[in-house]
Amino acid sequence: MAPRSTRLARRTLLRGMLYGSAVGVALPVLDMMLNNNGTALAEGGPLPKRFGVFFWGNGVRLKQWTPSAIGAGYPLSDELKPLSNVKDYVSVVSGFNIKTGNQRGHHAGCVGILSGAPMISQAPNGAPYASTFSAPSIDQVVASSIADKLKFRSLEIGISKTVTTGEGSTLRYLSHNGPDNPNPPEYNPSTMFTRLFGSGFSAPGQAKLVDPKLALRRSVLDAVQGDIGALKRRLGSNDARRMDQHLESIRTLENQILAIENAPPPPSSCAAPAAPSSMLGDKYLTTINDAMASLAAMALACDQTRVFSVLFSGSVGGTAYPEIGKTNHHSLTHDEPGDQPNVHAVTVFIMERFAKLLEALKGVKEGDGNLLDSCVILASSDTAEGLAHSINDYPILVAGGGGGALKHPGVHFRGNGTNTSDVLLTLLQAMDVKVSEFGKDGGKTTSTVAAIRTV
Amino acid sequence: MPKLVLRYRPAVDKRQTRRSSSALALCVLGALSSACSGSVIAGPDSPDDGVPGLGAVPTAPGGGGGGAAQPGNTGNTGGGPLAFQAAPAALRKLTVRQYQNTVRDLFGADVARPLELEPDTSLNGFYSIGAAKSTVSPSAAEKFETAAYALAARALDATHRKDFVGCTPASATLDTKCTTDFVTRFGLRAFRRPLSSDEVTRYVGVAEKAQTTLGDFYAGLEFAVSGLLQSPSFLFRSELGAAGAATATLRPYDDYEMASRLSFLLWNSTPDSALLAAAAKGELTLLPGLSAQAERLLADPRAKIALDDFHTERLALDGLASLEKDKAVYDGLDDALRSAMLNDVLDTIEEFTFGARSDFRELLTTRVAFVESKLAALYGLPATTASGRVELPEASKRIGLLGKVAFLAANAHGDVTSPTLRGKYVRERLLCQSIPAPPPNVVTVLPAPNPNAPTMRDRLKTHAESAACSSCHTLMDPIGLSLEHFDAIGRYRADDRGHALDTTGALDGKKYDGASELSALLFDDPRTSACAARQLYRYAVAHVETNGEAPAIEALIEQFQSSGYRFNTLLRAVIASDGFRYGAVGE
Repeated sequence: MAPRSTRLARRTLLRGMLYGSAVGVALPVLDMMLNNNGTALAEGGPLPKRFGVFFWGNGVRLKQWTPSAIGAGYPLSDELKPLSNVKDYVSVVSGFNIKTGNQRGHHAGCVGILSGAPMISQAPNGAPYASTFSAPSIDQVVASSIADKLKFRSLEIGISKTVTTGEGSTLRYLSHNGPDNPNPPEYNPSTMFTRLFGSGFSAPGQAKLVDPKLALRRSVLDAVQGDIGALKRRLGSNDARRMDQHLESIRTLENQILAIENAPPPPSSCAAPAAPSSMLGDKYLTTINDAMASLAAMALACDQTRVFSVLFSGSVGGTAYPEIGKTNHHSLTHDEPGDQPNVHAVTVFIMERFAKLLEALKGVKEGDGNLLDSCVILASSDTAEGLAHSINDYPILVAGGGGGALKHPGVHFRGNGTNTSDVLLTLLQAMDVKVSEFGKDGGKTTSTVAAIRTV
Repeated sequence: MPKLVLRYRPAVDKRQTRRSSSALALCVLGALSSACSGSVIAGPDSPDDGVPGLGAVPTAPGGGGGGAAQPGNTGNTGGGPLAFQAAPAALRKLTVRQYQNTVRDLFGADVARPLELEPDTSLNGFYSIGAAKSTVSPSAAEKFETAAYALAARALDATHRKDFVGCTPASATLDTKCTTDFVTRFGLRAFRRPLSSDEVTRYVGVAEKAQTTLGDFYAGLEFAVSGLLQSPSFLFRSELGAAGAATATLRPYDDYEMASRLSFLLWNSTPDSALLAAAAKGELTLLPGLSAQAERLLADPRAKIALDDFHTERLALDGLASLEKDKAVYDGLDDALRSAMLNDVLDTIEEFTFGARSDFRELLTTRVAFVESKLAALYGLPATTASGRVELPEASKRIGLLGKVAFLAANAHGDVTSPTLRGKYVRERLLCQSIPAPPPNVVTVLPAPNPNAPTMRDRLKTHAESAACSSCHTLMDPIGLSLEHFDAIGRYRADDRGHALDTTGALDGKKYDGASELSALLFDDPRTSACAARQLYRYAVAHVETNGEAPAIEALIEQFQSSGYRFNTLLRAVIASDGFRYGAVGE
């Protein structure tokens, strides 16, 4: 392999060679841009950090969730036992409260934990209730700060399709860019595979055929942007904001096409996984989760994106768990008497699925370590306990090595009615987002959770 | 021959049975803040509201030919407390169904194929309200792009290109005149209005750049077609109102905007050439022209299908697509049965909207049903019952919408009934009343059935007896408890596992015993028909009515009532209404 002599601006190089004509370019000419063992990304900097969110509906059983001791080497509680293979990568944060208000059960917790801002009720007299986010969810805050033009700004994954669709965007979607501005997830692993690894994906070592239609697609998107600009001039501010999102989405799509055209050599840990079958339905949750975990891991390893979210089950989710013989989760939390053993069993099942995600990330070798080393992952729910729609002593896990920014091995830190937004600010800073405060109204904070950081 | 084809197939993700966070709230005594204080009966219309109807629909106020339409349907727009004020206009994104119908109508069924699009978001009961707020996410932009190229490629393939383009290019690569003619003509249909010269230049430019790069006229034209289908002028209905209007709160929608509004309301699809031609002649901003086109559209079979969509949304029937029941309650719930449940309701409604019967209120008291074998069995009909239209026996305790399996099953749990859910549905969907949120930190577990509390009525006693719970729960539980003869799948039962059922109750002071008497009360209740009128208005204008629109709403309610509750009169009144023809400046 040729030694690396100069840092080339690969994109400039490619455009100069290929613009306007169909040419096959052998990739080895670009080997000079990899480091000697070909494992670091071309800029030669450290491996990038990745941000993820894992979210499930209806909370936990706090008595069986909260570890019985704090600090390093904390004992795994019953509901956290499934994480034993990845325990070193998981910190537990307990005793923190959502401070953005509890206007409506499930809605408030979901919006509070994902955005640090209050929810917006959309409840005109005489019409069914709905709510939405008032601010972007944390995954989009991170996505906005990532300067690189990646193929996907972020990846939204959904596992159980049994979401609540009649009460607005809050209960139905995880990722939001703002009010009434969600990023709907993909639920079918087969469709997700095509999107990530179908045409437009070049595997390592594959000669890239440059297609003039890609540039033409971009010229079409330029024309569409012209239309958006012209229309925007006639609009009030609400509609103008919606057009801003449309514009942003078109630009994201242009970046995607550019990424295909430029086809930087994928990192050596990148390899197209096997195509999963088309699957939907609560009776396939385990398989769907496994498939999506592999796809997410490989999408990150191939640097197609650096932000992802998994809506495992929705807020107020009526997901059934036939694999363990349980029915409607939301109903269980409200109907099951006593210690709610079925609710507990469902929580354990969900944590098993989260463990599978972490294990999939850990299983990808990168540099001297693995993909999970560079991840910052928030895992939480829409309430503390579904039974009471509570928002105090919120169930929060922080997973990943954070590229060295997160405490490893993980710890159990217990706050004392501390603001959950402190965790959000901590994670943003762990992702090198330059912020010293985060959140709105009661959710606003300038404090962080030093216990889960290395510095 | 009975029609059992599934006309409406929600092409969207499975929904849970309509479960909200207020289901089965049991209030722990003494540990609560009261969220249910003050007035909980919501909705601008109360039973004793004395606002009179504000006049009939006048004919063309300005005479024919030219001139903007005058507001006049409410008879009172000169200012003062009852003047109609339009709500702010908003862009309306095409719903999945509208997109699919539109491309079917633009390209023909042979070219249009099922496409993978991002699902709609419902808001305050309607997808059209959600569509007036929603955005194009990055993944939606990807999907729209993929769909656009798929359609363009097929429309311009060797089989279809001649008819679709309409002119033959002079050379293999470029023909500016043909390209320009095509972009102008197709653009008018795609954008639902004539293109500006800038827009024509823009898309001809896209086409010619591609035609040159690829060396092929048709391959290049695909890019122009694809661009037009990705433009916000295609994906969003920009019904904004005339910019030069005198009053910011009363801007008439222009002719092309009215063409869109009429077409999407009555066909859930893009305006056809005849409607666009009427717009070009300025006919749609005048009531006679608007009415004439409305009649033409209503006479087309597409109108029935489009209005099915309205009723499906209004009655939250799309939840049926993901209905699940415990096998112990009913084994054999499959998609065919779910479709049958849905079509039972839609076909019954059709009998009272487009069919022989005309009093829309009778949906609450009718014994008509449309069945196939599994549904007939659930209705307790003999096994020999033929599929199709039936009339349930007079002695049946099951009447009207509240007796439909679709309603009873969708508003119950997988294993047991839910009087609270069924009551909530009646309040929200039939009476247009809001139910406040359950108080926070309430422990919500009902006691299990036990010898001291064997029936639902017993188990829900805490709702009725605790002050913090009862103000909201007395709105819902008594209604649902009158339906306890129908189990979680909607099958009739004489008792609940041997325990007698007490189905007495009162609807805001009026006593009833059982579902039939309750349905009769709802039939007579002016709030029921007022709610139907509001819902049609909301669906048509894509927002929940604001206070300023009260004059228009009152006029609709009055017209509906005085017509003998003819749904089609209501529909025509909505079309002629100020709210349908005027908007305010967007906020």
